[in-house]
Amino acid sequence: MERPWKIQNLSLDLDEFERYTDKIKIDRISKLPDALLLQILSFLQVQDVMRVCCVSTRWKHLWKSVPSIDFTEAKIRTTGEFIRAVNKALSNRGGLQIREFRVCVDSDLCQINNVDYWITFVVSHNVEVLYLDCTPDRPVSVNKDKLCLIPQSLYRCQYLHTLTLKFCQMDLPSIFCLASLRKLHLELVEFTNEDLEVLLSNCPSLKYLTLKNCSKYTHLRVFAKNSHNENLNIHEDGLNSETDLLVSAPNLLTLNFSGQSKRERFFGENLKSLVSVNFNFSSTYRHIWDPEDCFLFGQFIDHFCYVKSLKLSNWCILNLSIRAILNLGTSVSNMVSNTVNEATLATRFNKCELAGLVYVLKNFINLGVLILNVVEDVETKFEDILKDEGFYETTYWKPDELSVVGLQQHLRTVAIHGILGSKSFSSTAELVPTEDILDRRRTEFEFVRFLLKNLKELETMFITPTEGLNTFSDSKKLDILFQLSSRLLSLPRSSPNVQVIIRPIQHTGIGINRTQLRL
Amino acid sequence: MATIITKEQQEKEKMVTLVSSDSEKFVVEQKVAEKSHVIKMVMNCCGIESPIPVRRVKGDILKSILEYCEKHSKGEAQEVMEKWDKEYMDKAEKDLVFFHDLMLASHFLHIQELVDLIAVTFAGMLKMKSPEEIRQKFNINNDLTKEQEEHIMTTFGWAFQPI
Repeated sequence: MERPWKIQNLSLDLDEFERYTDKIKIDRISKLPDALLLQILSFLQVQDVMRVCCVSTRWKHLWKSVPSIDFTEAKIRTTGEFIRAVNKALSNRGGLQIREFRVCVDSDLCQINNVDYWITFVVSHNVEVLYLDCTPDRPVSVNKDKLCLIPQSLYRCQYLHTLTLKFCQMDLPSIFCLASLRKLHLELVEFTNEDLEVLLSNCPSLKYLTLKNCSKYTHLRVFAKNSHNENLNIHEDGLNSETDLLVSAPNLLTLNFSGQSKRERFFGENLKSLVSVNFNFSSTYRHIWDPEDCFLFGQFIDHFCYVKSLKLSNWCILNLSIRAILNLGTSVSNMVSNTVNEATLATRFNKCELAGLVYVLKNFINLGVLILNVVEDVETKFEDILKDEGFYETTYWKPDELSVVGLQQHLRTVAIHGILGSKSFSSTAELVPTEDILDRRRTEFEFVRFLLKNLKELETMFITPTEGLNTFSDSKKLDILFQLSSRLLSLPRSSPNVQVIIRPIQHTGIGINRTQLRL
Repeated sequence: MATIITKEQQEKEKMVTLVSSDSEKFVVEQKVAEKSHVIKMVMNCCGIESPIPVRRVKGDILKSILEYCEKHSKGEAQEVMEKWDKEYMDKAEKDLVFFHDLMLASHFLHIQELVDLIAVTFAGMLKMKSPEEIRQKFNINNDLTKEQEEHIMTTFGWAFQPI
């Protein structure tokens, strides 16, 4: 009797069987060509490369040809053995190119001539990516410590395209050119302003510049005049009193500020190409709120009201709120922007922050996309300051007020990420009635209600609930989502076409899907 | 997949037909196929009218590669692409044989982004592992003599310290 299906089944089984045995027995990875194995190894730290190269004769010699040498995670970085290990890794190279060289070394233990030798060596091997971190294993004070001096050979490296230097000192030669350099990251590097200008003018291809805690105690002046200087990041921690920050870069497209800058004055010159600015200032608990600062930040932000996209951290929103509540700035300068099209704001949705949010809505008259990222509620001294200044809850901005004159009407898209606040709810929250959980976040609903009621052109509102909901059991989570949706959908709207869309909870941070937003 | 495409249609949408080693046919947009430098060069000199045989690559591998190329020819936001790449790799690395063939094929077709992505994933499998663990995972036969092994261990002792 013919049973074709049976035969077919059998052959399929055999095929599967072969595949299975294939999988468990045959060493396929060793048969890959050298080029691919070296590429795999180039993504590993030196200690991992060494372990892999100890598995068989096929692998034994590969370590000498791996194009990248990465010592940044070696555990022995504070001992003399480390110096020997780096020397050994370099000395067996022959003439092969060293594409990447990354090393962290303690400046206290490493003699300068070692670093000199390494850099001179990799430069002679046409290095393209160089990472040198000399930060010692202890608290540092830039004024007293001797910084590691970068050897002159570095400035002759014509293939270098990414350079990272930490805790170093630069002594620029009179004539040099880093023709291929595209990314430059300097951290705890001290230089005079003339030096920085000379350095930048001798890097004709430089596109990304990051300055982290450089020239903290003196004025910082960044003159980036080359046509490729498109991206500038400035990060500063701690206090810098009575110093200025000046940026002059006619071709700059994006500018990011982070840290806790307290520079006294900011000057922006010749920033006519600037498209997007990110104010990611933060503050610690110890940071003392000072209404005077807020006034300064308000002036600071005025310099940038002609850009297209603006991102403000929670610290900035608090500052704008104080400015709005205390009515600072309105009499001095009138920050009205008709260019900002996209604003991304981080807010705790604390009731006193609403004033800052409305301030943005009122003053950016051509805003098209508003993205609100809800951050965790932390205690600040913000409320205390307002109290000291004689302001109480009654003077906060409230959604019911009719003070929305001049509220711009171009806003078409609003996205709120992480509604309902905190990252994780306590274990007892499971027993709290859903209504109470939602009621605790009343300001969020009130603000959403305010937006829906007043934005006549609104087309879409995306709502993403907080990741914290994942800490609940599935049934509780569903109950919360149902009640949340029901509340949001029942809010009255002024725009007939507005769609309120609840998006799935995201696990990986706050991802803003630009393409989705534009649809 | 084996639909007949007229010449006019091909020109309008700039479609190209690729044929795998086991004669499976794939019709994709020209810009998708161009992600492979090798296919791009072949298209430049031979045109896209007739199907292009990709003899060294099997159907299931070519299908997966084209899926990657199609996603990467759309120009989506970086975060979206990173997430997609991660999911794509999570799926591919489950079957080592398939993963291995995927790497060889993308190397052969010169799709550098994909080779890099696979190399990073491979490197992740080798990271923080002892030589014995690596041998077991990839069925590598240890043919080093005792002396050779000891020599490496003593010369680079620091790398073999407990992780």
